Amino acid sequence: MIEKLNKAFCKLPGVGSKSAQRFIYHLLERDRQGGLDLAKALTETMEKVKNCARCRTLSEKTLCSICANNARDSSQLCVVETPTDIHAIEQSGVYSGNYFVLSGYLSPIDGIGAAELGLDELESLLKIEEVSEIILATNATIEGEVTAHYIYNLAKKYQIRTTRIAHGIPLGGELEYTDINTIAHALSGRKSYDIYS
Amino acid sequence: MTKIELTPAFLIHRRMYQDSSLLLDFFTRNYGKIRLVARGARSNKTSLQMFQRLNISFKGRSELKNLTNWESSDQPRRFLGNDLVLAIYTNELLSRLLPEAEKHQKVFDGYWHYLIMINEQSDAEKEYSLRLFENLLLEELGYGLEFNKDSTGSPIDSELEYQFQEHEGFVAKVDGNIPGEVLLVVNDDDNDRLSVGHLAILKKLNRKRLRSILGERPLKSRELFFAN
Ligand SMILES: [Zn+2]
Repeated sequence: MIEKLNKAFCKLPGVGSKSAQRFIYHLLERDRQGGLDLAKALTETMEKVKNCARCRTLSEKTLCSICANNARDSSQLCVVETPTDIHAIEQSGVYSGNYFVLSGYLSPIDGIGAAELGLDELESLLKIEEVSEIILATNATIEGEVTAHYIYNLAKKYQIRTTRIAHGIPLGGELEYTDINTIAHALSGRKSYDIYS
Repeated sequence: MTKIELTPAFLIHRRMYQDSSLLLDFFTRNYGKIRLVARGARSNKTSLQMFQRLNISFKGRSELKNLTNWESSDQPRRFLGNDLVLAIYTNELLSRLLPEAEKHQKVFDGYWHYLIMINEQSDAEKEYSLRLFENLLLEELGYGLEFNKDSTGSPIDSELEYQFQEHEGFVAKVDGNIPGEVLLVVNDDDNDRLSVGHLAILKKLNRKRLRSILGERPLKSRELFFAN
């Protein structure tokens, strides 16, 4: 029984067999109630949290709190790779539009194409909703760029304007310590200075 | 124990491995296609770039060796849009077709040349360059074709039409779908004579050649060429 639980814990990121052992003994010897609460919360969460029917982020209800919020600007649609990306953008507090969550990024070599990513669902959404701008917030990786390009083509079909989040030197960062690829990217994406004044 | 220091390589694929590591597929000039682990590399922000010539060091005893060091020996090269799709497609080709740890220096050099050229070429030139790269790859893997001879060994006639048969080569046929003229253009490497129609014929030809080697599972990157 303990061995089975150990294996289950090992599936978590950052947990090896040793840490799993520590968790299990801690719960068994010092905190049985905590263990039972954890089991209950885990079961409940795993059973009840599904994907939002509209944006596909994780949600207890059919529509997540963002999609259900009428005050959000539904003409803007920000496309991200994972639900954690939504969390990151929401924390910045500068965006008030809607989201769409992909199941990762396009990776042809791993057999992940448009259908596997949920891009068909994105297309159906574009057909029924009045989106005027798609914000491509996929990662600045090769796979993220390919994904962005694919969605750009999709949006073009529906005559929707696409924008891409800017990538470059991190705030507070110094050029000397920035890698050359980031510098090249930042230079090619430079903006007119007068927008700042 | 293998220990290799700073050998020329391209990163052709990466995926997450365990918690904080990456599993990296490299195409090296001297050791062919190899898979390495980069421990703790996921949090490293200045990540390894694809489409850039690198020098990598690796060592290990087991089959799965560790990447120990790397440096760029190339300028930053960033592809966008369709150029990126072309580059991703070539990586899938290498990934699917190159056998593990088999040296293919001509393919390596051809790949680098192809990457350098993408940024400078017109759409038609890019397409032709890709066909040439596919031809080079197929030839190096033992599936080469002679573009100046038909299946019986007679010279290709620019006035005739041909059909490609997997095990025979180019068979002269009245209703063949490949004009002899197109084959001669490839043979002479004279792309000035190529029309858009010719390019489409060569694309179909290579698709057929690749399909017989790849088997049932098609190249996934083809999906990305949509809407063009
Ligand atoms: Zn939602």
